[in-house]
Amino acid sequence: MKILKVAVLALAAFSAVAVSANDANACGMSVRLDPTPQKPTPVQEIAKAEKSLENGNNLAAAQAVLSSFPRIRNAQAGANPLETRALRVFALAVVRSDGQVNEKKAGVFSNAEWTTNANLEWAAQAMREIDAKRPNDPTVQADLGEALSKLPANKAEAMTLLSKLAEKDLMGSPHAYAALAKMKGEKGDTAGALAAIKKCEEMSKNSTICRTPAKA
Amino acid sequence: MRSTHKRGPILPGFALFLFVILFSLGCPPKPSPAKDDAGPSAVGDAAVVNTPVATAGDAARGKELVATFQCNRCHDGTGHEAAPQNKHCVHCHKDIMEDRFKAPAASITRWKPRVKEYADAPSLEAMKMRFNRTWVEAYLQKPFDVRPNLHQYMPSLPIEPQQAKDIAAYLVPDDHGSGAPDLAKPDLGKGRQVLETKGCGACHSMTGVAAIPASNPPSMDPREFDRAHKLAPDLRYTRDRLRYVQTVKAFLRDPKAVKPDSPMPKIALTDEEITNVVGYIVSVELSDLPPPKKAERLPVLERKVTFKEVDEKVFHRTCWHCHSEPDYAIGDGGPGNSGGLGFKPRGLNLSDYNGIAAGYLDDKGERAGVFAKDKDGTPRLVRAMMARHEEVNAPNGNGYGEVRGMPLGYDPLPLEEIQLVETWIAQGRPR
Repeated sequence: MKILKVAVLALAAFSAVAVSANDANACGMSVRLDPTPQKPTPVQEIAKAEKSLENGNNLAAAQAVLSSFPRIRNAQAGANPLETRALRVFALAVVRSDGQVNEKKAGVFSNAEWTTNANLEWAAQAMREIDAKRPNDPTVQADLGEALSKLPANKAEAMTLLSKLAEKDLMGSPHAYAALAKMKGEKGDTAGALAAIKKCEEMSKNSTICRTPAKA
Repeated sequence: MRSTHKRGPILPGFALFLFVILFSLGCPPKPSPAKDDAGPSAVGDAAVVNTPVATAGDAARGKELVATFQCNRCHDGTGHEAAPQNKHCVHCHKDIMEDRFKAPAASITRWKPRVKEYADAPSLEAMKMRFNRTWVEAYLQKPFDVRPNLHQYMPSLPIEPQQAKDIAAYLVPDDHGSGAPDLAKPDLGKGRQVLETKGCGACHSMTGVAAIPASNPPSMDPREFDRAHKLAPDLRYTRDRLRYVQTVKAFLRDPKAVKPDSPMPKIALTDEEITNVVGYIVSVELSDLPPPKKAERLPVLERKVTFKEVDEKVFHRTCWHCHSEPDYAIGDGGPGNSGGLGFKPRGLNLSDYNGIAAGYLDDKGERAGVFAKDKDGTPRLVRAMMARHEEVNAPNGNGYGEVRGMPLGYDPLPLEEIQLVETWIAQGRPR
């Protein structure tokens, strides 16, 4: 019965991806390609993973990544653009699930046992590596700040990073604002926390992420 | 890639100089007849349209700069190999139009109407024989619309004055001689008649005189006519752009003998007709261009504007083609992100919400927000979009300001779209 369920899920996922649009390059610029009824490519899988992550479906995002990159944890940031995107999605899925999402939860065989803390530390390190390859990119910095904010030992660094971005109005991630709000609240900066929550709510499709705990 | 008020969609392809130009000749030594009273005139003695002014420039350096500014992404005849197919705006668009581009059929069908108008750009071939170097130098720094039927414009590139001199020296290396004197005396009235009856008005306009009626052009292949129509310059500027009379006359007699890739058709004209029509074009009195129209921003909307709406109508429709995410575009985020066309990498990614919020790299290499307000409270993004209106509305390239207008080389965005962006920003940039 379980196998049947997985098969049905896989079929549904395949159908959804097979008709999804994807981005590509033409004339030296970006263009949007129309849907083509064919087996989803890794590009489509990662686009789907990004969409799942954006919609708060962290486990689905991780599953989509693992379907194309089962050994994503071994990926080198910056070596391959698509793999780097996949690495970012997987790391953020881990962060936003508070370390709950891992290969086993995603239904993929793995010998490794990931504690939530080890999982979060891995995700923060992955974001650091992406940041090193994409220096001075506030999008990556916001993701890194969000990841670091989950680790007690790195909260000060996260606070500095996210505060600077917020001060310059360079942060587009509601999750990063939510992390900043939480840290400010923990420090007793209620006004700062409320300001960050307000920004988070303005930016978020689902404003519950601005005040409620993460979920898988 | 979009339809706008005057010309419809525009792609980043541009129109460095011009190609067809017609006729030219004789500097008018005295005031010419009024435009609608074009009788015989004494103009035509001079051998050049414009007295060339020698400007210092290093042609070898100019050739390098033509490569640096990637003129070969749009123009043929640069003296460099054409840009690779995946970087060549015009060739790429042609491939799409002629079903050579590898993409899903649905995408090709959707793209075709958008790129149809962007599959041509003037070639730079034979410029050295026809152009006025001083004009080229000025145009490189402040380009303006000399081809009213071509949708794209020559973009304003970050070309320094000395660089413009060098490029002009490369493109027009010999700007000193004036050729043998041309003693023919044009009859401007008859010259006007030639313009009206020989099919010139089917492609060319000439602002500053009464509109040229569209008479029948010579029989042409429809595709060749379409190309000729798009690339036909406004004859108002001929007197400034061109120089040798003999070359221009030779061009009129047989365009392809002077410029082999010219779509200008060969028109049966007598020598007298050529003298008269060229005389008219270069010496008839022109009325002043209208003063620039002031484009006023529309007030922010009362209704809610989401990122989805702004993204669909503006960012992903127009901006994204040049400001994309490198990881999504084979490592090249376009000239507005990864650099190109002489622009240094600005890191501006307008392809998604986070990227837009992440801003751009300023001249010091520091990140700056596109929503940062200037002294009158206008967000930078809105300022750039409005600047494009000012650039296009002011005649002869006199509308350039501190902020480069966007979209580069395109028609300005309709004011309603800028209003949408400004409203979205004012509302806190909601998703």
